[in-house]
Amino acid sequence: MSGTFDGTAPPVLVIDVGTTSSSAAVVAGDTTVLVPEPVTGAATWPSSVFWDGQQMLVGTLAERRKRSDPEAFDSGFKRGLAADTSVLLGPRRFRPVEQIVAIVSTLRAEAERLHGAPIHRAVLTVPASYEPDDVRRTRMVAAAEAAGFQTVELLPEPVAAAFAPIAGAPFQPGDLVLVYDLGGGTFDTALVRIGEHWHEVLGHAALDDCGGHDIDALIASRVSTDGQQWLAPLTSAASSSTPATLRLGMAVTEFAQRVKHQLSDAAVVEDFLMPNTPSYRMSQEELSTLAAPMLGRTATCCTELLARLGVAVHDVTAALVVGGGSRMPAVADLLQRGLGLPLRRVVDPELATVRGAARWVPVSGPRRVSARTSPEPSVPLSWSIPGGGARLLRWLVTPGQAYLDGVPLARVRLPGGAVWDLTASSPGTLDRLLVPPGTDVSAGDWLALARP
Amino acid sequence: MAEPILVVDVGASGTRVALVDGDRSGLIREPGGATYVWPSSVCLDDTGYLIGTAAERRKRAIPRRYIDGPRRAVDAQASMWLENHEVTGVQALTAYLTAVHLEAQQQYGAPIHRLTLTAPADYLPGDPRREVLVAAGEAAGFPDVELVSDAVCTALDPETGGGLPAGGLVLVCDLGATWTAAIVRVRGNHTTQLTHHVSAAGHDLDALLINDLRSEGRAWIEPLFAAPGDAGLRAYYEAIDFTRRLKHQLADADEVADHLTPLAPPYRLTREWLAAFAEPALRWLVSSCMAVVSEAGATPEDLSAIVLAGGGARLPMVEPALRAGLGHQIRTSAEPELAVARGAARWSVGAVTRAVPADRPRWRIEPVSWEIPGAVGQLSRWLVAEGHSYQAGEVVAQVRTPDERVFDLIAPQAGTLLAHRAAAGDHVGPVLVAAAAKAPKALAEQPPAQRQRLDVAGSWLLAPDRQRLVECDAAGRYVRVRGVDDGTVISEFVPPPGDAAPHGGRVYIGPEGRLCLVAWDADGWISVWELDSGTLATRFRDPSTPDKVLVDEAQWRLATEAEGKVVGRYRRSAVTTWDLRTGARLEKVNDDAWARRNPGYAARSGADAFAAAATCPDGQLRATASETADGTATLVVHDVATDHEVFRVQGSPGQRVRVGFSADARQLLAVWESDDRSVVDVWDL
Repeated sequence: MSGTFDGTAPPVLVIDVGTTSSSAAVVAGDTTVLVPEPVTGAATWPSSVFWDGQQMLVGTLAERRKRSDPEAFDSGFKRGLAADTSVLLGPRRFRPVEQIVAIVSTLRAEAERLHGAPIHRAVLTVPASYEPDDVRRTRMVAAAEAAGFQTVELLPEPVAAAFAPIAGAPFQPGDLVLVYDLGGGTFDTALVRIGEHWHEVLGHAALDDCGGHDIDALIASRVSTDGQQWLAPLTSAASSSTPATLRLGMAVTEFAQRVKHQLSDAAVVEDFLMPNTPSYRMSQEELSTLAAPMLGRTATCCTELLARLGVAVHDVTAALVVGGGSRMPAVADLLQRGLGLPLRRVVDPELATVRGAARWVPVSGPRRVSARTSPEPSVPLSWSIPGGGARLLRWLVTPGQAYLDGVPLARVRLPGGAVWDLTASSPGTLDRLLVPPGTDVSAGDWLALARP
Repeated sequence: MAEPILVVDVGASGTRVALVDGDRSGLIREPGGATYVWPSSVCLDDTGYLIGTAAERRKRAIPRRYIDGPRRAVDAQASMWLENHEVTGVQALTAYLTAVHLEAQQQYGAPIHRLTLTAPADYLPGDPRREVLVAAGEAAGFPDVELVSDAVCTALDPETGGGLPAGGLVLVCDLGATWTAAIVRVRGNHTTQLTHHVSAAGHDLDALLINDLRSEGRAWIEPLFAAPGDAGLRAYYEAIDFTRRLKHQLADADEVADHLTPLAPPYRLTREWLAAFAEPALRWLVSSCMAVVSEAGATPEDLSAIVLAGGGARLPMVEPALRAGLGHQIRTSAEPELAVARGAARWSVGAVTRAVPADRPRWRIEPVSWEIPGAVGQLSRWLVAEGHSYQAGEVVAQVRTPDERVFDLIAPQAGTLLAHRAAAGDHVGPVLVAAAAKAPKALAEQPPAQRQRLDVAGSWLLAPDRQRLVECDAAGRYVRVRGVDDGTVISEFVPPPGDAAPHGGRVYIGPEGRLCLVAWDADGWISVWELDSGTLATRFRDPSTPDKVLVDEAQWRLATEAEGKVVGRYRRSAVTTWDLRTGARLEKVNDDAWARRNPGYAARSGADAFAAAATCPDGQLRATASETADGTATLVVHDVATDHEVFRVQGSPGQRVRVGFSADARQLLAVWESDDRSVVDVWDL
């Protein structure tokens, strides 16, 4: 096992587990290969699971089965990672972390099949809102380890996104970039300072109820209102059974999604919920009006973030628009008008995070640290502290300083309050301090290294 | 090298300060006062904090900004109010110590960086109030703050602590505002407080006296206390001082009387009254003394001394009550309120001796260290287990840095990991160190350090437990049992002198593994001594005055060999055997083949752990006694895993060598024997 990223580097699987969709890419040496969804061939996998009684189906397979048994289906569970309370899928309970394990395992199996060899190392992207001590970070690492990876790294999503290849000139070190990530389930924004090997996240903000799916829900409720006349008989027919009601709801939501996707590049769409229902029409303009309040909130979220960070809009180099939700033409209009920021786009906005993470892997430096070798012998310094333990108050010599036999090297305070000096038992030169002042140390601990 | 140390004993009402410079120490007088007792008072006026007598002087003018005893706030872990300012205990104590520090530096004429602060006996380790004391000392400009218990200091007071045996138990009665009874075990730098009881008895006594003053002088005192504004509070403080003054005067008078104000009627206090007031406190004191003694698992007879200290020691009825209650002489000094400060100063004089030398580095261990990228990280896992070997370039461990990158820590060359020294999940950095076995080549290049050489005209035995070396004089005049690690004498046995000159002696391992000295004298008396108990197990006489003594440890029998009769051209030796349990003679034979038929009998112990070859208890080294081509005895050490020779020592001509390892695998030992001497070498491994 090795961690360099030269020509012989072992492969790394980069994974973006999103609230509604996930993606992954195998990075081996200089090449990056996206892992396609085996059923649809698309680069994004629905973050959906379905418990069929024996195994967990993931992605499109799960989506396909959800109509047959809606209660065994779940998606959007990443939102529940913090509480990690289990949910019922059919007869069994699963915790969100277990559902994530299912997604990551499936991605890993597909990636290994594609790569033709085992992959032991993974990089998972996580929202910037997962702070360093956040339990969700530990759970993401644990999930990836449970999925069989030996080594798991995490990378904040906005940092990854800012590494993604963009149309036009790349960002320069020092640039301030506002990452605008409208995903399927959530909206995240972060201000990052571009660096060569690492982008610094200066601040971040999120709206948990502003995602592409929330727009889908708006469209769906609009469909329900507009088509009340022909929908009502269907609703009353379905109300006799729970699965039928769920199925009808799903059908309306999917119809809304279809309408929205078509409006990405068509001015007007006309479609049918079912072959025997009347046609339904919607224009880009209508969609913009419908989405305007929600998009307005995302713009406010961005301006509030900048204000909180004390950064003026004209100091920001550009807004980087990523996430599947940003395909809506209304988003670009809003950002340009509402924020007054130049926009930078990526080719596939829903893949920006995974593509960027894949590019970060080789530029983030080697992961090998060799032990220090020195021609001179090095000896550890330890002391038989009376009573067995004490708090190190301070070092009385500095590294590089030579000392004689009997000279005090450090001072400690015992639990009873007495101050003792730790002295040298033979002359030498202090090489490295292993323990900083203020640490509780025990008899026999190696506190420093010295050269005799 | 010795640095000046300021010693401060902050009491509830009085503070004592001493300065230690090298081996000299002296109490420091307060600049404003004439005594060694600095009032423990703090006053906050518009220019800042005033302390001591300066604060006492201002208290009449601004009584609401005065507080007596910053330590009381620490004791109670509560804030004090100085008019409208909330002052925490640590703030008040810091202000007090800062002023003391300035004054002491001025008197000393140089900076003082080290502080010894006495801590009340009930501030046990782990008590957050200890942290408050340390924090106040640090905030007052002392980087090094040492805490020592009041009770320990009292026990160490040079005025009363003379002639105490090491490890002796001292019962300390420290009667300040708080009364403390404690048992202290006095053992130099390791002097510790074992048990304690505390009570607010001193405070309660003052309160009783104030109450008495109030009831006696109700007619004139209540109007004073009830006066509006600061006047009432001022009168109250005056009354406290007044009763304390009267109490102190009773130390050498049977009756005292004084006037609180020039216009007030006299208030009288007699020793009898005081004794009545103090009676409950004294009962508490005597019963607490008995309690702390028994809680320490001792009886009053076990006490080396009873020390009475603190201002309360001046109360005339205390000493007789204690003497009667405990049946012991009581030690007390002329200035009992200075006992804690004097003891703390003595403790501080010893600061330079509170030093621990570094452990000797292990010969076969070397550190392997990695710099953690970014200087901090969390150890994810070890990929090489303790005791396992690794190849050059192998990943030994993985570390996760705060930016969630995972680094592989690589071994630069092949080796064996002996100890991790950090566990998975630990925060590590800037350096992670593990213990690795040194390569045989490096071992051969850096021989182990010789710890010592011990020489005796006699013999050495390495006890079967491999923790004790037994030194035996050739004539059996003494036996010393020494620790293997540092050669210090653990016990010594000297047999009582007999009538005849000692002739020979050796140590054997007797029944149940007991170390026994078998000694014989010029008259043929053979004595068997059990070394642990020093008792004579048996004694018998071989009148033929043997010139050779052999012991069979398994049967616990002894054989003497004496020159027998001349038969033709031969002189046949006579062998007599004895039972060492009873001393009974078993048989006498004249038989050349006896020795061959009885191989169990030997001139030295067969249970001796010194042998021709030995393997280290950790299984990594093998030591063997061998000979060079010219017959010189040589000690050779091999690395078991690689069979490489890693160490070799050659003796002198005429010596024989045997080898051994200590039970903890930390020492290699060799004994070099010649006809008259025996030398043990000890090396650190």
